[in-house]
Amino acid sequence: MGPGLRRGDESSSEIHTPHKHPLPTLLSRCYTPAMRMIIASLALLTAFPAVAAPIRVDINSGIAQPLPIAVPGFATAAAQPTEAGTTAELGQRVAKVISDDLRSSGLFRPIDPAAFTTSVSVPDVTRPQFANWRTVAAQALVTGTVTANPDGGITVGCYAYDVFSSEELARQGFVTTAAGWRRAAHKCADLVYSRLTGETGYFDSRIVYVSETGRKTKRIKRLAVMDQDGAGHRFLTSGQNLVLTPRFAPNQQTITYMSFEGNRPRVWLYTLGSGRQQAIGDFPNMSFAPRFSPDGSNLIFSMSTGGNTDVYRLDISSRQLTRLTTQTGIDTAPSYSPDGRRIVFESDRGGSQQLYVMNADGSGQQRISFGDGRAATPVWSPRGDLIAFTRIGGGRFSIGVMKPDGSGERLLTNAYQDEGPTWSPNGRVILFFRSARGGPVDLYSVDLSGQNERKVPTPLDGSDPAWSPLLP
Amino acid sequence: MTVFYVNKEIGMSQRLLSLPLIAALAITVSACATKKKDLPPPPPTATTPSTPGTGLDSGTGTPPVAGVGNANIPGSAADFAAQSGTDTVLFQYDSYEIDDEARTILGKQAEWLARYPNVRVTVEGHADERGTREYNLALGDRRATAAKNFLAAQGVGTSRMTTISYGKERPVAEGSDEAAWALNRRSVTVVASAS
Amino acid sequence: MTERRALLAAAAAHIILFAALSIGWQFAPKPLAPAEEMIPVDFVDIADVPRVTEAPKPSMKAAPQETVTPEPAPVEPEPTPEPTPAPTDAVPLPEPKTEPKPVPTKPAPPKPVPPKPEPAKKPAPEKPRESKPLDTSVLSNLIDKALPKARVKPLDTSDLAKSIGVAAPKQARIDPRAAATLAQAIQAQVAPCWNPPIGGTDVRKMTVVIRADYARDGSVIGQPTVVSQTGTSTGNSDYSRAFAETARRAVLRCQPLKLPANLYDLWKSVEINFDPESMT
Repeated sequence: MGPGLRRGDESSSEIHTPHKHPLPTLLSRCYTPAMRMIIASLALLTAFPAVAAPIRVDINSGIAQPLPIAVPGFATAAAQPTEAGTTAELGQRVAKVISDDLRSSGLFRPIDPAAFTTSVSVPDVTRPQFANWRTVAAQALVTGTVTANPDGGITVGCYAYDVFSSEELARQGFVTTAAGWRRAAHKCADLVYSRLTGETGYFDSRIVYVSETGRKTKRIKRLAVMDQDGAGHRFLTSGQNLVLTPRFAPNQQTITYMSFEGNRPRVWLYTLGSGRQQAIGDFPNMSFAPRFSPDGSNLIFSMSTGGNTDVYRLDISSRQLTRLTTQTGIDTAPSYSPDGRRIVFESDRGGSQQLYVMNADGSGQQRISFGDGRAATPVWSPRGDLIAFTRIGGGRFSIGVMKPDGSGERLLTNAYQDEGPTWSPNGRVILFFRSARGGPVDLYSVDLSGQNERKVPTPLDGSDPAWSPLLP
Repeated sequence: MTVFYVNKEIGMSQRLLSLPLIAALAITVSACATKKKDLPPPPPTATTPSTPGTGLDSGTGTPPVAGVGNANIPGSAADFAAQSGTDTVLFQYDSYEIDDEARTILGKQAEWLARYPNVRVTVEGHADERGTREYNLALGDRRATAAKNFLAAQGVGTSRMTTISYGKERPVAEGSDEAAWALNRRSVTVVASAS
Repeated sequence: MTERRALLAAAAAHIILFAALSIGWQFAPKPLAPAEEMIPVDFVDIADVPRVTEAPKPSMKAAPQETVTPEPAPVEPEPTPEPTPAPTDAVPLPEPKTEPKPVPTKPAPPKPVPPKPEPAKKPAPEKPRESKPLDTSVLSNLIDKALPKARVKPLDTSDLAKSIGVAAPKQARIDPRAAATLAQAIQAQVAPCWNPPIGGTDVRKMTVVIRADYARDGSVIGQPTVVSQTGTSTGNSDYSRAFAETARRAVLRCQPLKLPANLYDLWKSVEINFDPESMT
């Protein structure tokens, strides 16, 4: 070897500085023969005119994995008592709720607090020791404060940082009652989620569903609501009447559902807050599968007349009922597009259950699902870009998504019987219910990638979930 | 959203009462009700069947379980089950076709109903668990309607019959196998009341 | 008259019917205790909240949303400038390293310092300190997890240096192909740190070019900046910002780069185009 080698040696002495960071160490060990080839070929090159512009590098793929994030307990200047515990206790609980929210999304990996090198004091909240957080491999940091207010309420301060750029990403304060600390935590988690993903959050939301118990032949079903993370669970109906398919109104305060009250199966409304229940009409025939329009002014549902089931729209204030489908067959499970201009529904008019899309006035009905098996219970994503549905085929019931034109179908689950999807407010997660063969019925969630499938804990069995919009 | 839901099925009154008037009445009535300023007590609900025979009759609220009388009183539910052989007709998967066996059963039911012309029945439709909730409600309605129509063709007056679908909500067999499903795909003729 | 009477009768009948129905609706289902009204949560600006209890520091920014620029040398727990013991990676890796030997030769210790003196550059100073204090075995575990499946393997820079050295003696100018290979080396080192937000609605159209300036030791000087970005629209500004930040984070995480020093002029300023095309 000639002088070149010497030069190379010199340069390498420049390069191989002590490892300040384990990453390069790790990386530097993973060399491939291919790269060696490239390097070797470089040796054959001769001198050329210098390249003026900065080197341009293309990176076409990265690694899709949850973002490591640190959520240390929220700080408080002094532990003050509140109805829900001291501010110090609340600080820990708030952090836990945020951490659990973020983890459940599958997009974040909260770092075990046991690995933290320090706790966070109030001054640290606005001046984090970024180096400490880098050492635990956190890429983002959520800190905050809990302060008791003179009126008995609390203020939760929420701060998000990018650990590697040492930059504050977002901050927001939330004032609520002491009992409202969970909502403040969810709001903080939503802030962090939206700032880091660029999409709206969904943690401050609720789920209404049907709680089930008892033998199959005498199943008792009750409406129940709970926070998105399962907290604050409560029953809305007593179980005296069979109730099915609850769905939130856009205002989150009203739920439409089907009840067999008085052996007259029809669509009802339940008003949260007052607990008032009202049948929406006295139609002679069974009405079911209700949903609100995105503006809350209309209900769409199915009504069966003499064995024929069609989709109807009811203007809630004027009581005007409009029949939207007229073909013979079962037309049911209608769901509006988020802009309110179209409706997707299922129909067996072609011989088996398939998905159809029509304009909101019933015109332009068009089949969108094809392929093997049946497609049922379509629900339009709040983002508008996808429709979730139940795919039935080969003795399996799976949750799938497709575009509104029917293309791009993907199955997200595969089980004995998955059914009844509902979207998270941001259109990233789907909740559904899973019946095990001869076994329990439970709520599950799965994200759009088909990853991150999770059982949603409920006190009893659960079915027919519906996700609320984001709370105000 | 405080909307008062006006009964749409008031029938011919729609010609006579303008919508605003109905709404006004509704508000008045509701307001009175909540203020507990008692109106003349409403007629017992049993009298509501005075509405046109659209199947609105709400007096049929017996639970969908055939009563088992100790003695089969003629015209009773137990008598019906005994005389007809069964109150239940089975269907194939995702079908509402009345097959030969079902014809025989429904024929006997129709004979019995001919003997007791004052008896009213509710025809229930059911589906097995291997379908989605909403579709199965509609399928149950198809089955109930098919059985009802068959009975009607045998001379049972339609005003005596109502239908109800329970979808997959009320199976008789608890298993998750074909044997159980076959039993659950059914219509059941329930003697609702004899007068 | 009869018609009128009929009308009245009908009206009366319907009032009664309606009363019955209304009352029926009120009483029919026995509601459980009504669900409580939603607990309100109000949003407040919290710019000042924590400052109240905080000893005033010169570094505190008053403006709430401003980037917090950490001061160069806040109380850092780890003072020792002594070269970090190469992390005792539990990660068993095939290639025995040959690098460490050059370390002792001259400028190693001062290396961490250079960025510091420049106060204008915000976060750069942080980086050299970081890896010390912690239990490195835990750390390396974490990082190991954080880099599960690097698709592209980084270069052995010692080899690289040698070979490029051969090709490019001191005053020589650089072959574009050398630049291309250098680009590949950078790509290989940065890509494993990129965690693009795939799944976003507009991710398919989105790309971002980040410009980073590197010091001779391969560390990033100052903040990488966004040179250009595609796929942005008024509707997705939050998403495009988050997208660009993932790219910047990749650059900041995977440093210092290991590149031949004799080609420093070539890589002291780099533009990296992040395009998740092969991931969506």
